[in-house]
Amino acid sequence: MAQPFEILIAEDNPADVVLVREALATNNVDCVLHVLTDGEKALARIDNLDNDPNKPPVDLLILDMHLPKHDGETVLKRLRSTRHYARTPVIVMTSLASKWIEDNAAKDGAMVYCSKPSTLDELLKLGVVVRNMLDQHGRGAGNPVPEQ
Amino acid sequence: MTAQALKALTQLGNGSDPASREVLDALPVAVYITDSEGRLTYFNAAAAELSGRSPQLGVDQWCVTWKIFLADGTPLPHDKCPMAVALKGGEIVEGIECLAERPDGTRFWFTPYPAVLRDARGKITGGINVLVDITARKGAQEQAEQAALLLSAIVDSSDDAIISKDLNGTITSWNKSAERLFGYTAEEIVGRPVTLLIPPERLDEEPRIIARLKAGERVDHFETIRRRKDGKLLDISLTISPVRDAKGNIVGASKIARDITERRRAEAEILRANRDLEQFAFSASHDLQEPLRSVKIYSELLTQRYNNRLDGQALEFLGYVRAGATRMEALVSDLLGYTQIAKREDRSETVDANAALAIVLESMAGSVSESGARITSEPLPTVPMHAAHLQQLFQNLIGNAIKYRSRERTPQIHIAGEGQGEGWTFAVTDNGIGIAPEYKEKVFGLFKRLHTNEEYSGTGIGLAICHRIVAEYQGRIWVESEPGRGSSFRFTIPRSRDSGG
Repeated sequence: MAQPFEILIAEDNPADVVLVREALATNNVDCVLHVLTDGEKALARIDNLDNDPNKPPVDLLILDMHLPKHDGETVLKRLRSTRHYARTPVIVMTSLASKWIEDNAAKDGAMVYCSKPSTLDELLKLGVVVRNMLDQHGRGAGNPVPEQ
Repeated sequence: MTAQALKALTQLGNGSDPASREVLDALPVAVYITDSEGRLTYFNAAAAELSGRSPQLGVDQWCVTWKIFLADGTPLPHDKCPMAVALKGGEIVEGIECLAERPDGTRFWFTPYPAVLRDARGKITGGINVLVDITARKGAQEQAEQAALLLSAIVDSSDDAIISKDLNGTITSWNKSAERLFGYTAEEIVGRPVTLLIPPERLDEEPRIIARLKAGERVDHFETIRRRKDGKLLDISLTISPVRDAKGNIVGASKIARDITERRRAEAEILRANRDLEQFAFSASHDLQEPLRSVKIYSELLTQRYNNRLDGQALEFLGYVRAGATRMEALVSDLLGYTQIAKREDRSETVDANAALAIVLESMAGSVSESGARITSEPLPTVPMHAAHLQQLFQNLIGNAIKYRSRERTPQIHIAGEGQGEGWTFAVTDNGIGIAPEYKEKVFGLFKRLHTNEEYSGTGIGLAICHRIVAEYQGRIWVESEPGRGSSFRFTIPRSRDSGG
């Protein structure tokens, strides 16, 4: 049986974390969801991963742009500047596209935007976006090879 | 009185011969004659009338008048009067202004023209004096002096700087407020060029102002910047009028300068406060969307997932939550639209109102056909507006006309527009339910609604948006309506005004 996907979610609003869980569940995505509730925690996790000799796999980062302490843009820049996780696929959850995100979208790893769902239809759509992202880019595509 | 006339009078002799008497009697000026001692030997009717008395011949001395005063009011004894001085062989004083009092107390101003009469050997035989009444002239002069004093008092007490200059731009007068405002005293600046007050980068204003003055034009409330003696710049409003001489030639200008620094500061503050408020309204309406999204989707999830486990009342309550959220979403989104009405940046932009209307009608085709409304329009003008603004106006006004249609008749909506000298007027007229007179003003306020949501749904922002757009163009929007018969919403877009001169 395949390993569950490892997904990081940087999101401060528990209600939106639950929505993402719902979206994943309705699309039968088998995953472990690691929740980071502010920008500081997200940066610390990225640094720890990059320094971990085991190179734990990360299949997807779901990133809210409006995070406390450090915003999503800072988190995204840090991820893209790591040695081992620069190509991790990212789903940016925001309705406002920023110039920086556009400029950096396709440079390294895959990235898509998705507005936060406000209806059940949009919730289903979010699930499809996650599913597609994992199918195309997850599981190994962006993950480092463990040392040893 | 000319010397020649006096000479002719003296040649009439001492008035003893009837021919000369006749001439003197008929003269309209006061004339009297004395002997060498100054005793009156003759006075004419005009003299009696002027002096208000009939002197006793051979008794009254020196003058026909009752009492005399010098111009400064000091009494002048009769034996010191110009006639007396002349008869006593002294200098003949001409042209002085004297005040005399009649026995009835009234006073008059006169100028005496005394002359001595001599015999063949040059011996003084008497004197003749002509008194010219100058009361009327003195009165006019006094009035003019008083008016001038009053005017200068007004000018000096004015809070505005009042300055005059000639057509070369040389300052010719300077009041107290000009001293206060610009820091120069009148002594320092009268006679110097007005350009002293103009900052270097605005020196080109002066020739333009002079040109307008020469053409007889007035410059009204021209807002500009001038410089104080200490170099500090002032925001001022100038009103400059040409000054003409008696022949009507323009010889200079009077200038009223009002300090508007304080007003400018207050305006900037209001502008800033308005921007802060707009920013606040924008952020508030924007940020409200987030929690609202959670309310919406979770109430939807509840309804879907727990449909079987919730009783009828729970589902009814949930329905209210969802309706409330939907309504709030509309409010927040309209409010966001209200705060985002763009300021016009390109003021040269124009829009063909026919094209704007066509776009709006196309986008509203669904609700138009659903309501069965018949929409007609006249050929519309092209107006200096941002296209999106005019479209928004049409959309909101036509949308309202459809929404508030009467159920009793086919909705008819007519759009008209015409250009006039002052600008353009548009009208969106319907045969709907109309608006009661007491609400005609209120409907343009933010969140003002006349109906419950059950009757007519709406956020109360649509007309506020219209009001705000029209205000952006310094225009006006109002409604004419007959309740039960229909409404006509009208707005004007004024021709943009030229600034200053």
